[in-house]
Amino acid sequence: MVLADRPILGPKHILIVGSGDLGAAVAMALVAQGNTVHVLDRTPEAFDRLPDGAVEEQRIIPVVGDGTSHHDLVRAGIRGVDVFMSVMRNDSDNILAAQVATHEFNVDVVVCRVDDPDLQNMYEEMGLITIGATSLLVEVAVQTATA
Amino acid sequence: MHVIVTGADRLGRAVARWLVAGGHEIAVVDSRRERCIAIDEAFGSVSVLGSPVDRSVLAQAGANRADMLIATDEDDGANLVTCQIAKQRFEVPTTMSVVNRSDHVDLFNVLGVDVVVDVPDLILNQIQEGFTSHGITHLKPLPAVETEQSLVSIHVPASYGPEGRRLDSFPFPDGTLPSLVVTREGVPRLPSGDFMVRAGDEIIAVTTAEGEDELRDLLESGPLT
Repeated sequence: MVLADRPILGPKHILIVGSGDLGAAVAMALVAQGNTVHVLDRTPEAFDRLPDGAVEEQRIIPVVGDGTSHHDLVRAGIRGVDVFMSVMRNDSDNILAAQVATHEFNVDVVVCRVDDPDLQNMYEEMGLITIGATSLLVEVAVQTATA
Repeated sequence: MHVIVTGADRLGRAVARWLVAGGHEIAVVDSRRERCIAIDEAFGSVSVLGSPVDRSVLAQAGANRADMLIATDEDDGANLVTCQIAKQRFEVPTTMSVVNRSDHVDLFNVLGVDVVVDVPDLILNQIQEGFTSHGITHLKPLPAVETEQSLVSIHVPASYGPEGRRLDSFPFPDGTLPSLVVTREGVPRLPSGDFMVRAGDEIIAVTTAEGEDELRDLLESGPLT
């Protein structure tokens, strides 16, 4: 399904792999916009970063598991999501998880965190949608310095 | 050939040893210093200290002129990214990777890793062999044809005796094609019908799934007279 075929408005189901500082913050921002967010992380303690209220109301659904495991991704609801984001700390883990979501589960929109700028370029060229801390910060730093 | 091995754990070291024994030029990449030291002590200065998912580290390992890259890390993500960098950035002709979770095997194949080694499946096969001791080992599935065929190794059990029996007197099931006999002395022989098969020999054969079951029964029932 191409993006244009999808309804532009309306709440989405989003699966975030990695409930670190970034994953938790993205989950909260998306929930604030009315979306439902599933969060998958290997360590249950990582879910302490999520707001209790949203979890109780099931607007955020935390699942303990490995973001590169088919079994755990299915448990976290990957078959029903519109958007998949892998935002763990390790680039390789994110790239593996994102490619599993793309090729094995055909998720419509897959976003992958890749902090190494060289790897980020390569996977962008290969068609992955990436976000990278290094390239973002460089951009902001250059803008700030030259403003 | 120039071969890059990533991961210098026991598996990576065993692969390196085998390559060096075969006269190949190797570079071994690992991010842990003590493992690199161990590699250099064993094989001369062939280690490259650094992350296997870093392009400059792979360049230092000679990725530009490498004929093959073998990823042996315990981290499937690192193995996949290493192979993808090797293909995309260095056009390494052949990439090979171990996979530590079987559910990643299809993905590695789809993404163009040339040879994918399913570690849990390999170990499980070995355990199954030991468990049933039926003397048939799966070597390789053969793709293409409509019937599912595979290459198997049949160990001729002791009950077949040292004097042996003619190969063409074995009631091989339909579709089973003996292709090579490795004698118990380790000598490979192209089998003719009058070849005498003895206990301890290994018959390499193409067979079907049904044929394999029949072969198993045949071996378990002992020598037929």
